[in-house]
Amino acid sequence: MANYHVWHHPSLDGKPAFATTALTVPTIDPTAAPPSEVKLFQSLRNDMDQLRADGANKGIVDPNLREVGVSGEGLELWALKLGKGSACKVLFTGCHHAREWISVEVPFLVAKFLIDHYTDTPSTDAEKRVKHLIDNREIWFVPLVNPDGHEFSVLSDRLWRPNRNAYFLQEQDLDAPQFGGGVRRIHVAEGLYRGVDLNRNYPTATWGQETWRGRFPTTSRDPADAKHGIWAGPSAASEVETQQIVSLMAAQSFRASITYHSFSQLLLYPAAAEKDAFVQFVGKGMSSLIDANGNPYTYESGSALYPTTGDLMEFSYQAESGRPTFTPEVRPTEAGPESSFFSGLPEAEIEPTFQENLGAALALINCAGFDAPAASVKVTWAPGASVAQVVRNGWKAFQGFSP
Amino acid sequence: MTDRVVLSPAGAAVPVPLAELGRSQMGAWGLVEDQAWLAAGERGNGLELLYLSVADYEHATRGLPADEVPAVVARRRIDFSAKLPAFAIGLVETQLRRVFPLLGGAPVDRQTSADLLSALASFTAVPRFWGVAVRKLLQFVREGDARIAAELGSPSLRAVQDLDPTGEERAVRRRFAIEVGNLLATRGDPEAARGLPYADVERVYLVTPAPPDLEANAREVHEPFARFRGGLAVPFSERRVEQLGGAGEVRVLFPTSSQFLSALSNLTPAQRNVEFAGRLDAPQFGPYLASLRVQQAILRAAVYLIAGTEQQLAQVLAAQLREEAGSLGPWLARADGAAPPGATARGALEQALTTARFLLALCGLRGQLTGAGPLEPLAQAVAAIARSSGSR
Repeated sequence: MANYHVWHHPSLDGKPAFATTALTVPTIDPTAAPPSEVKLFQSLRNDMDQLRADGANKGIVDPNLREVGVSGEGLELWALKLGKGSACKVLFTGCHHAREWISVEVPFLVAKFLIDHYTDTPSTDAEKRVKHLIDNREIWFVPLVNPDGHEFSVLSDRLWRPNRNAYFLQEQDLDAPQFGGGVRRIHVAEGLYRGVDLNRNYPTATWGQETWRGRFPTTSRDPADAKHGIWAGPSAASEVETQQIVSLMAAQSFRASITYHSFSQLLLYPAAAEKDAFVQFVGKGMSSLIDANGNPYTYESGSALYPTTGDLMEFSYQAESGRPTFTPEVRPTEAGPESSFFSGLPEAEIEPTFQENLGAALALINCAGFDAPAASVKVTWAPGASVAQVVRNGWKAFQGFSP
Repeated sequence: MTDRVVLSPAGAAVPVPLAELGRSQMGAWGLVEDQAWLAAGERGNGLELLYLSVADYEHATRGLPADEVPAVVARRRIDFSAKLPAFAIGLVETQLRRVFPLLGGAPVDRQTSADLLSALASFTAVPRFWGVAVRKLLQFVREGDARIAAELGSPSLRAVQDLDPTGEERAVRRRFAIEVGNLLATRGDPEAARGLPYADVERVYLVTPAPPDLEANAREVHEPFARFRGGLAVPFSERRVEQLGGAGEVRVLFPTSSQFLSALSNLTPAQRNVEFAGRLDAPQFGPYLASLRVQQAILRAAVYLIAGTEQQLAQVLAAQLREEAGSLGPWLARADGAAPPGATARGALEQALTTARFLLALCGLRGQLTGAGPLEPLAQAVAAIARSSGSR
């Protein structure tokens, strides 16, 4: 069974905290040495290193790329560059929101699947398709965009959502523009405010405009909302983590992207792509591939869930107009009739969540190579051929995909 | 000798006398004397521990009709019995926390408090935070003090029970936060010296009747919620509470969303109704603040133990810990009200020690000692503290 990439201790997952040698009990004495027997580890780093080494051995992963930068607190944004087709690039990101641990695991497992199933001499239909994707695409994975927030969610506050950057603000009045027009005056008390929602911080055309669901804010300029994970930050792309992803996108010109979140079981597309025939073709196809696993996700516009500004999906569509970009909100599903709570998806559901999203992820990678729907599907590869070919620009190449 | 509440699953032989409390298709549950259980050796491994005491069982089933109790037991088997080794340290920790309110400000009490904080930190927070950058740990400490200061000044708390009537504790907390901020400023975090962390106080409110848009919003932004008596319970920022009003009545149900989440995830619907009804009359601010204070003291001790070899940091944190160890008992006594008749710190320590030894023996019998390993040194530490803590 897959484990979350966290520091294990019993309050998190029921595992023994530290099944090592016993500690002696130090006292509150300035001369006492700290205990040294207990070690924690950051498992994602180890697993990404292993994945990189496995892929490099097959000649399909760049061994020199370990991260795309560091967070505000100095933790690496681990990255993996997979594939040989540098003319057609795809971006996978996860965990903009700290508490959404499953959103780390899905892109990580997609990368692992591709590397594990790549072979130079494919024999099965599935292997030919995997070879096609890796031979013809360059796929970037950044599964943990918000490592500082994630660490805090693991160590201290399970429901923490934003990053951990802090701003000291003087007492002031601030006029916040409203999405759709108007201005709201906010009184800011003097203080140190910690936590910007990275998925409200991207430099979209509408960054900083407050959004509401009825009388409740969903994007806020009030730093007092930092704890609630909807503060857009003091300025567009103020956060170093946002800057890293924006820079990466500018440098690589991705032809498709996907950013994982949880929860609700939705597949969201950008509101601006409502009438974009190609994006809708790809998105509906991905949705049908997810649904074919028997646990359907609702396919809808990001603004249908609730309006926001400054999120990555809108920014991606703005930066690469017409290119497919999606946000899966993965398991669990919506609330029950009488009550609802989220305290984490059980580890037993990591693998099923990945499996039901795999076909859609592969279809998106495939569709990155094309600009419009076409008609036929034919998967070819012959010994001696330099690449495998999926002769179709559509998602159906991964219908019924079974490794 | 202590009685534990256990389940004897259906079909299994009962190896020890069981004073039956209930029975269902799952089996029978009741009281077993712990020494008898342990003496049964491997024959007792079929029994499942449900509650450490009959008082805990009675609290969990209070106000419930008899036909709801089997669901409580079934839930408890999944949420607790099956995970016992992982919970062992936490169970002892919970009992040790009961010692602090029984300590006063005398030197022997301060020493006991400091020793307990150190022992608890060594087995809980130190392993959790080991390897985390010291700068971050100092931020956590600072935010913890700022949060307690904000809680103590909160209008909803003060309307029920003013836990810091003179403002003395808030002043101490702010001073602690400033001192730690100055430490952070010398470690490349100059912002920390400029102001205190902002802490947004959040309560779980019951809004009656339930506004439809409130539930729709909670569903869509993934906030926890629960319907109760025609109203809706949701976490909400205290500074925005007027937004919840209108035609409805707004009352505090839980002082914090984490307790609310715990109730939603660990209680059966019938238990939840009893819990919510009780909290409508008393949202339990005192125990919540007590828990925050002990947690903060343990965190400070852990950071000291992890990073105390750095001289400047050690001086600041050691001084704070000494002050906190001396004040914790009186602060907590104010929050918890009068101690139960006859309760003493030594008695509470010995009870925790008994629990630790029992869990250690039980896990040993079942071959689960790897997970419960740290219990042994913790039990030794508690025994040493009990011996040196005088007769209180």
